Amino acid sequence: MSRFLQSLLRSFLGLALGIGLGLLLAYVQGDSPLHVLSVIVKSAFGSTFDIGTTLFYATPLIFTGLSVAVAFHAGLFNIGAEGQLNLAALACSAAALAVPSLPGWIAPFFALGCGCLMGAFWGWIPGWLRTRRGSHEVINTIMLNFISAALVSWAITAYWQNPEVQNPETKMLGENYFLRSWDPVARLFGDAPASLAFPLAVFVAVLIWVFLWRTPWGFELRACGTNEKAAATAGIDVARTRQWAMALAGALAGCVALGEILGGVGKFRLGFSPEYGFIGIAVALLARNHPIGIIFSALLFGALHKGAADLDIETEHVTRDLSLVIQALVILCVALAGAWKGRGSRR
Amino acid sequence: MTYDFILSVLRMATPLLFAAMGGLLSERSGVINIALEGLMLVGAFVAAVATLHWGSPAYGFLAAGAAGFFAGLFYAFTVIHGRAGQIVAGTAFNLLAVGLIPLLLKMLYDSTGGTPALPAEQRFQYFPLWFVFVVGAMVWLFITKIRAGLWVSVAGENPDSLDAAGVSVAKVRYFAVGASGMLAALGGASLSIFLASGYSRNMVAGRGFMALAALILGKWRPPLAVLACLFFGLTEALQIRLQGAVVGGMTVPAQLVQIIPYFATIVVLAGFVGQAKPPKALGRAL
Amino acid sequence: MQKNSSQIELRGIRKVFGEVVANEDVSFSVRKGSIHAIVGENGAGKSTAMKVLYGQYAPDAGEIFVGGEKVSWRSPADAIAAGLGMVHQHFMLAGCHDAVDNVMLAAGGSAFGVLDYKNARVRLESLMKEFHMEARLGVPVDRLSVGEQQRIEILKLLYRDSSILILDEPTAVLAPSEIDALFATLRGMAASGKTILIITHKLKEVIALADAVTVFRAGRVVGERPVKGSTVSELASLMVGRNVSFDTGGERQPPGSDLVLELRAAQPVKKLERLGSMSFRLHAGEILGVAGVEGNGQTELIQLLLHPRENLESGLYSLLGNSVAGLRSRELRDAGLALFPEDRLNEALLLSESCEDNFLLGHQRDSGYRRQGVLLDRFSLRADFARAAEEFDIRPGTPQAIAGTLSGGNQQKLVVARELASRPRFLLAAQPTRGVDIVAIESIHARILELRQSGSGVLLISSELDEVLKLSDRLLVLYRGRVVGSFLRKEFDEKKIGLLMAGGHA
Repeated sequence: MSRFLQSLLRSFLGLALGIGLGLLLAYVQGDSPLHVLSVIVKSAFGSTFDIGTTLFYATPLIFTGLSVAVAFHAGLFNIGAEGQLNLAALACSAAALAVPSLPGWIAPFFALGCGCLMGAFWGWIPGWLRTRRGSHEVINTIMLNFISAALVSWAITAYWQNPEVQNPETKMLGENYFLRSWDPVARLFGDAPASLAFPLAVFVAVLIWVFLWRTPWGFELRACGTNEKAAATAGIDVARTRQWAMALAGALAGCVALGEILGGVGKFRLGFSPEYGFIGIAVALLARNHPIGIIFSALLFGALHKGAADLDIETEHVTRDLSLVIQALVILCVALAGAWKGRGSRR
Repeated sequence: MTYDFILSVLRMATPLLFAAMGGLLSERSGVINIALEGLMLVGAFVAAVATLHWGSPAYGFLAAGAAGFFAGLFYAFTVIHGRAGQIVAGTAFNLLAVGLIPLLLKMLYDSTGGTPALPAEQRFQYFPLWFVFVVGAMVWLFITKIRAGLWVSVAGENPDSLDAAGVSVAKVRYFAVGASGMLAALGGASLSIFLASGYSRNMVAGRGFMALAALILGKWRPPLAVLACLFFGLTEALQIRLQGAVVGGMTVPAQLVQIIPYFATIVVLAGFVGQAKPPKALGRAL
Repeated sequence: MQKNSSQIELRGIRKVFGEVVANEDVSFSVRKGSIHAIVGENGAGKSTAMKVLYGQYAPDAGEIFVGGEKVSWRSPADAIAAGLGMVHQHFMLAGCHDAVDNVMLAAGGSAFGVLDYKNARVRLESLMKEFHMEARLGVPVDRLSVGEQQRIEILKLLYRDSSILILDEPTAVLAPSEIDALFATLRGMAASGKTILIITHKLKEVIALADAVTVFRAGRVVGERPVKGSTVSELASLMVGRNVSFDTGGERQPPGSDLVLELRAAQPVKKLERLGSMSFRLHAGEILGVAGVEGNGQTELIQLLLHPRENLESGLYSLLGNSVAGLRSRELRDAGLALFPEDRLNEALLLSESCEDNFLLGHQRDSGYRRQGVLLDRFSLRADFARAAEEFDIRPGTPQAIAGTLSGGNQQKLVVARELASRPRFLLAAQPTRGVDIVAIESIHARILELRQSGSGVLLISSELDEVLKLSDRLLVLYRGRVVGSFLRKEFDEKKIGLLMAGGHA
């Protein structure tokens, strides 16, 4: 229990330090830190619309955070959530456009399933490369991000471009695929793109927690992460477990399509993700890879992302880029705070 | 292949070459350098600002190198004494550069998009193009012939043995990562004051990661890494050349040409073509 | 020099880690040009004392004299500068570099100096000639044999003119013939005026090699004497603090006739090239010992038995009468195999996890620990762990204690408890008592004998010949991946077995 409290304390310390340094920067630029903070908070939570938008941003971050965390527990670094979620979102909308007349009760499942499968496949590739060919997943996932970006951009222009608009995006999906037509959560927030996807993401996070800590398969996955050799000696098939873990990570990243496409916007837009995959690393790190913690840290980063949007207009010098700086500082401070503990336990 | 095309290949390869040589020093010393991307951004930005201020690209180049060195030291501090995970710290560093530079631009020029354009006479004509090969040769000689170069490669191979020889592994890594930051920043500088005229938002566009890929494709060895960078430069130049080109009634999908170097990196790293062995202690904290 | 001719002297050294007193009032001296052995059991404090001498630890009290001068090191660099050199048990070599690189690395010099390969090579070759050591140059050292690597380690020290050489367990990884060559080299170096300290727990080697010996027990020096006139048993009882019994556990039931394990012309895959084709049988109620110097195929044999699906090329591997050649290791465990892994810290435990989770490792899919088929039953896990902790005397027995914080002996007891929990029919016990204190050793030996008594078969792989002799009913000698000798208990002959281990003919 005390280990848990300690890590909670460390996360808060890193968080406070990161935000403090970010606001200090605003002060150096000539804006009042309190003003900046109040703009951010007001913009993130000021109205039901703002809250809805914050939740809309937090939803994909829960999924990418979980994606990074699951891989991490298996001892792997998933830098590839960005590529996985882009391809998955494309696959999701492509599937919906390809089979337009499915009945409404199965259509969203079908589209999401296709997206998750695509994400799982894209996540499995680096898992396979690592376990069967011994090449490091960090480099491979970075490479796969580039490849996925190129593939998606090519596929959109070549096959799915909506001819009525200039932007590289697909046509709107049919009503049967779109959650908004009946989504009770979306109704709470009016025009904001929040949807049923948010409570679903929270539910998935809880499921992942149960999976990791309360099932034999989760135990095996974590054993591969803590000590690969001991896991293998104990009869766990490390290669297979890790491939599954990466596929699961990819599928989780693929779930981003749920909030973005089925719940929120209803079409695939090239470049829709403001690097959800990378922010997911920060989300997971701040939560110390704990699925329940990820819900909260995703909310925090979602609020930061939404809140910073108004900085351009509402402040003298500071721009929305401050949210990136604060995110970076939070990651660094949490990572360093972890080191401070690590040091204490050495001789 | 025309002279023009070869020149454009070399131009495309220049920033990659600088960054890859830098990344090579860092990785050979045992520190994974995902931060190359951010370090290049820092270099591109500082070079443009310093050139605008002093009116000469030489100053811009020097300033970028110095800034990159210190930025590299900062990254080194987070992973060596800060004991942060190298991947995490590198990612955070990149994010920091992406966020901080627009804020500084806003302060300096009241615009987050980029610096004002540099007049043509304040840009390099050819200098970085040949200088980068000098740098490549120097890195190669350093690694193979100089004692400190041996230290760097042992720091990444078996740090304990370096420690047993009475050499501080931390110092060697600080030096290597600092130098890596300097070189990556020079790569960024050649983007903003050689290939383009001034800094513009996100102008590095993944080249840091490409450099990382190139040095891995080059199996962590300078001569091969140079070849890999040239190969990457080739595909990039080819992609620009093919933009909208029609062959046999079909538009060539330029985006797919872009995939080639990334795909090649994966294939080589997976050992399908030869064996690529990373330094043994790569990524391991002290 | 001063009145006393000692090259090194430690006086009243004390070193404490937290609450553990590693060294208390440690004093001894070493004559110049002599070979001095430091002996003691694991954890007796000999390594700590050497690290203090070498500047790796700062002593909490006491003084060090080198060449009659009082010294105080800030780091090993100071000790190196004063002429000390150490060959660590785990070699400090840069694997992808060759001997010349490694030697130059150790020799120091200015950072931006140009490396003079030619000179270094010439000097290295003359040193090799002078001290009769051979090692291939120009080959990455991790492709060389262990003996060659050790010679390069020694050459590193000679190259930088160290006058005091400390060797930590230098014979642990060597074959007997290599040991003889090493001893000859060391004697030559002592004759040329070098002072040599060797840390070891093999007393026979002390008698064969050293001029003087210092015995450590429980952090203190309990004896210091010339080797001439000392005997192994005398040193042994000093080291252990009581008379050592080479007792074999009295009367034994003869082994049964049912086959537990059979290998017939079992050919490992190419990756395990150190191991040749294997054929042997293990019966119920039998302990079959495998003796041999480390690195002669033991690790590969374990891999073959544990992962036949990946590692068995051809031949027969059957367990309790059924062929298991195509099975995954989990299926093997279900079929009745249990294992004490060779390398406890790296292969047996999740050091950062709780004892309870470590107890679960390998049993996580057992139906006894499942609820509704998918969920882990933490409640019955905790109950089982509590019972095991009591029975096997694991301390601390709290289920939430982190495994990495336990002592070596308790960690091994945890492993033993876990592996025996499934009542295995076949136990593969590899190095079961490595790095474990003497009380835990006896308890682990008792467990192994108990399992034998209950009718299971045990394959005991150990580099401690004494252990194999004490426990086994039958014994195989492994040399260069082949079985070169087989003995029944009544035929056990230490001399013959030792000779076979060294590659000789009995």
